[in-house]
Amino acid sequence: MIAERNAQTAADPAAPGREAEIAVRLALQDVTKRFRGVVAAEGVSFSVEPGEVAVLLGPSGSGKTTLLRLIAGLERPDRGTIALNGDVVADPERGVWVPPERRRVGFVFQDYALFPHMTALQNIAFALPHLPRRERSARAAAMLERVGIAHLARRYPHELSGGEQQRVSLARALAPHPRVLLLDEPFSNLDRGLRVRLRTELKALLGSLGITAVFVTHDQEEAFELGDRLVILNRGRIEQIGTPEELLRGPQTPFVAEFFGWE
Amino acid sequence: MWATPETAAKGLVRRGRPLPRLGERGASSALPLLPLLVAALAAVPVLTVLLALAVPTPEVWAHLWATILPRRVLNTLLLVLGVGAGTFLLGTGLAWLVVAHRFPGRGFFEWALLLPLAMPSYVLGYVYMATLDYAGPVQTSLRGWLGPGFSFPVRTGLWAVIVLTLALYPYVYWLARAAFYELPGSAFDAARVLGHGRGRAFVRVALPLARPSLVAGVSLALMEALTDFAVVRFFNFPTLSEGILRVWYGMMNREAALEIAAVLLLLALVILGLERRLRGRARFSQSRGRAPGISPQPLRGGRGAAATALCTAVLLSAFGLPVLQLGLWAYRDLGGIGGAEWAGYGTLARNSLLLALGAAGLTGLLALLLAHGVRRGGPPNPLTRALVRLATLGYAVPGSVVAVGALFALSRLDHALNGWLEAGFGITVGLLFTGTALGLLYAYGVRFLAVAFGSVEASFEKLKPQLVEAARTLGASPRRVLLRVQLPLIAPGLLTGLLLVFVDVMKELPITLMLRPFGFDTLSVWIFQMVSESMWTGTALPSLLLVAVGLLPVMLLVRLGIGACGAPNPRPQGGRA
Repeated sequence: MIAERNAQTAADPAAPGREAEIAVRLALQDVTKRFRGVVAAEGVSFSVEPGEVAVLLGPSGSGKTTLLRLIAGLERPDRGTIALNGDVVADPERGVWVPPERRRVGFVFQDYALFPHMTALQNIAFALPHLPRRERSARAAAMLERVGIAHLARRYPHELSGGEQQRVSLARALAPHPRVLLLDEPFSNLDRGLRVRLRTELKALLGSLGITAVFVTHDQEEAFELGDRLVILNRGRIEQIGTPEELLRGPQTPFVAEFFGWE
Repeated sequence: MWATPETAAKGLVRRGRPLPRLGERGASSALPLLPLLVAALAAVPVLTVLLALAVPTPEVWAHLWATILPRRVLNTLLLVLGVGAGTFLLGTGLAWLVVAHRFPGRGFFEWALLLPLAMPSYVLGYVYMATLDYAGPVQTSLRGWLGPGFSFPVRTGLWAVIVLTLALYPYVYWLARAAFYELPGSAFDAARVLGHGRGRAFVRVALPLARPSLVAGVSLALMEALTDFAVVRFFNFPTLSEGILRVWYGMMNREAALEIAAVLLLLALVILGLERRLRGRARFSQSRGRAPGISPQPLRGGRGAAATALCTAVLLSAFGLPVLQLGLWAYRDLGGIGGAEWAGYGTLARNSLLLALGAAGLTGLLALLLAHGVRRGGPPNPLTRALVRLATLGYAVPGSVVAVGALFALSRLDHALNGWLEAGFGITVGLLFTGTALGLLYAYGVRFLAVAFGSVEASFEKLKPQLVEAARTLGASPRRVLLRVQLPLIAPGLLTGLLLVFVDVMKELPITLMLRPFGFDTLSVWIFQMVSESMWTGTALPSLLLVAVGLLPVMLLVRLGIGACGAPNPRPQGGRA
């Protein structure tokens, strides 16, 4: 039944899936993180509305990945709060800390981080421990179908191409219906042609799911195509936030102007 | 206030209660309790012996220095020098011959020269002693040709050095061979172009670049030589290790044994310090990656034949002929033994097997606790590094030192425990650890934890941290991550570690001899006792069994090493994109 529904939504990207109902708001308030004195994030505040795709854009070393890891709970902030749907998941001042396995976030790693000892199907089933075995496999298979590689279910990661691994990784992150999907430069290890195609597919998929997502990239083209809203970062600070149109209309800081080459 | 790992694993998180964290950057320094416990337990025997240095008993010292110590210290130093030079020359020379030359049989000798690793040094020792001694077959036949007056002395330090060199050179050979394979051919060629001959290029470029590996190999061999007390006893060349056992058993003087162990430990620490210094800051042995290595030079005619003859001679004297001799004795033994003897051998084999399995399981578990435990707190920090060093100390010191230290510590614990139970509850439990299998397993754990830990740690190192993080974001608790992701991925390394410990314990002699329960004999103990009574034939079958078990890790090394160094890795990597 689930497979059917997923097949339907996959066939018609515009049809709202059940997942859309659980889209939540993500809010960061004054988040600061230093690594041995080196600033990775300094007083960062922004929010992502339910179903919105936010893109963190900036040069390497600007703190994009750190912010994503802070949201996932893979790092602890030194200061500030992070909230999912109003639930504070990190607030060092009040001693609040929810570990990553309890945050219900999906994370797509830059190098995919597939478990090398599990098949594609098993990788996805790993994310569904609470389901009965039969249902687990069915749901994992449905997820693979959704990303278009159902026929590769029994392959091990090293038997998959980079693009295929990326799809498994995406399916695995989405399988447990996360509240927020976090993507850390998921296309950076792929050739350009493939990247453009997968980008279009991802946009359709995110649209159909209606899930709140944060996408990290240093590629402006990618950012403008995928993002409902862009957060421009530089040295751990936010330079500007806006929709692609707003950003095109005018940079607010010299850095943004230079970054986009508009000077 | 930190939550325990258990509550974290069950996800019983409450607001305001921080949890222990993942192994991510910038992790906090939650005290790693389990590693702390493992390290403390493992360090006790060595620290006990060290303490004997700090708190000496003057009258025991004075007596020892006046009687047995000077000669034994001198002999031990001579043994270290002899075995050090011998294993260095033989191991490095053979490795260079095999890596940088082509000669008939090279492919075979490349791995076969490792076979002597399977031969416990005391087995090689007694075979040599029995065949070369005055009444042995060699001297008897020589007298037949050269007249009844002919004889040469065998029970000397020189023969002890020769036997230990033959038994231990594979350590150096193995590491040297890997290091020479990793040498970039370009550096060697550069030296040639700059006007050095092949020999000079070897001395000026290859040797210095391989130095860290060579030093590591020689120091491994030296630690084994320091541990040995059987070979030196067979050849009547008393050293410190031999002295510990003699004083312990012959004179029942435990204080004196502890003091001798302390001197031996000091010597071992000096060697370890030298090793550190000689290795220096140099990290030469970086992988050359895909760059070509040294191109082997063909040895033609007489030189090729000489190379083949040299390898054959080493292999025959360190492995082939001794195994043949053992086979002959075993054949003779088989003719004369009946059900009782077979049952005896069966008991010995069972005892050895049980101990080795138990020790492998215990060290494997402790290694896992240690490696996983220090990882939970994030990247290595001074505290965890110190814990690991403490926990693996036992492998860097001679086995007899571990045995004495463990015995002292355990007997103190036993007496304290017994006294407390008698005073408090009127129960007399006797000695729980001293002279029981528990105490023996504990000492094995102290001695061999480093072996299992090395394998487990190397596997953990290779594990990408993103895999753990991915599992966590997918909702897996730390326990589930360990069971489903980390353990399956490190399983090969863990099994390798278990196998190495298993074989080490099967062959182990000093700890087994000193700590075994009364009347509990193993294969190694039996061999030692039979040899002490000059009953060679009764030792042949147990010895052959030990050699056969010892072949397992050699096969593993051959499979891993030759595959990795000799040929490109055929395993598919990454994707096809």
